[in-house]
Amino acid sequence: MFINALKNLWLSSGFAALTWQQAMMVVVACFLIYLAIVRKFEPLLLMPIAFGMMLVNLPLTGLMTGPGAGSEPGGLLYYLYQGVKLGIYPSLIFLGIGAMTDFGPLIARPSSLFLGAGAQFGICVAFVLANALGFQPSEAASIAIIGGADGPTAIFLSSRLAPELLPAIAVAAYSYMALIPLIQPPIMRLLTTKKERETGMEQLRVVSKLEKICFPVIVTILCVLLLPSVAPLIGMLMLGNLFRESGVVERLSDTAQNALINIVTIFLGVTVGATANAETFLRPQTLMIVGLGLLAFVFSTIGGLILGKVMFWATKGKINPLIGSAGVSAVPMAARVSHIEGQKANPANFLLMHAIGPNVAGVIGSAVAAGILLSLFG
Amino acid sequence: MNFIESMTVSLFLLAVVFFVLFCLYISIRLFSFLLEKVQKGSTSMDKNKKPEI
Repeated sequence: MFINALKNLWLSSGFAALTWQQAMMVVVACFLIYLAIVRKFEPLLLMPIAFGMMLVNLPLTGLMTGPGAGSEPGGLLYYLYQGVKLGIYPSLIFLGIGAMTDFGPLIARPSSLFLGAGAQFGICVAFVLANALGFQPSEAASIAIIGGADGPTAIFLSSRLAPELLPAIAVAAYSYMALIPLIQPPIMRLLTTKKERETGMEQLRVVSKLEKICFPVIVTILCVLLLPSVAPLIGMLMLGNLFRESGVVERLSDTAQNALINIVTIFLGVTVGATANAETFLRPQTLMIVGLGLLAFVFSTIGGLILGKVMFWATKGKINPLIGSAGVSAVPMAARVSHIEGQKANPANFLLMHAIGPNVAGVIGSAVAAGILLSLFG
Repeated sequence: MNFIESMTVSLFLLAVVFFVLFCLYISIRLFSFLLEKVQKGSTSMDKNKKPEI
């Protein structure tokens, strides 16, 4: 009888129910935790994603199970996941990002918007390639948005268009964002000459407080009238920015860029990771998504650099083409990479503030691209 | 969706992104220009104001 009790205890434990696929996913999750902590690969998102992945692949927990028949409630992560499914968390993260972002360099040099637009080229290339590889158009759009290098935007779009691909897309997007200092510099050196990289840029003009306050209002009205589907992302981004620039709601600005974004990041990361169960993640499609994500990043960098070169020629050498690659909207990593490459060519060159303009323009550009894809395939 | 269709969608996407950001560019330039004019106008009005005795 005692033996039977032990046997039943064993059979009801997770060990008996663990499949080799789930064990492999737990190993993958541990590897991602290592990347987040030791290699510091976007730890703010990658660590909760990895932990969520680990939790959901430990069997019999029911964390992501929906409510059962009768009054049986669903799992913890099922309810928290509703914020991802309904597009709430990415929009709230954009609220925090808007409260943290200074759009001054973009207002001082509005032509940076074109560099932000050019850096969405990778989305277009990845869409064509994904479609050619057999993905459905909505899946191809979700994969392609990785090229926007914007985590919340990628999660927002994927959760609407292809939720089954969400974990692979999220992991790919955040991993490549962390790898920008490795991915971009060789492309930057390949596509620009030393003379172009040495180009110094004039100091940006001073932007008045009134301009900074009117900017989020103008952007919201214009973008949402042109493209209503972009309202959640652009609206929240600009609301956060208005909190920051108005100067009269310090508490709200402080909450948006600290407590709120941190809380939402935890919920978003854990629940996105919790969608990565073995059945959906361990498929050949996941490797294809990882490969397409890399190509999307590469072509986004190429698109930004080509526009940067066009502006270099058009302005007769006043714009350093390196800031074009900062149109990839990983703020402020991509801007920092442009600055470092500029300094390697010319130590007197300070490109950081010049590169922030295209960098934040890329955030707007990728949100607009997501809105277009959502209205086409949603 | 065949290759031609996906290329068309892709180019359409890029064109609309450029268009929206171009509209933003024009708006920002126009706003900054108008603000500069208003500020210059109020500065010259202040210069023309006679000092009170």
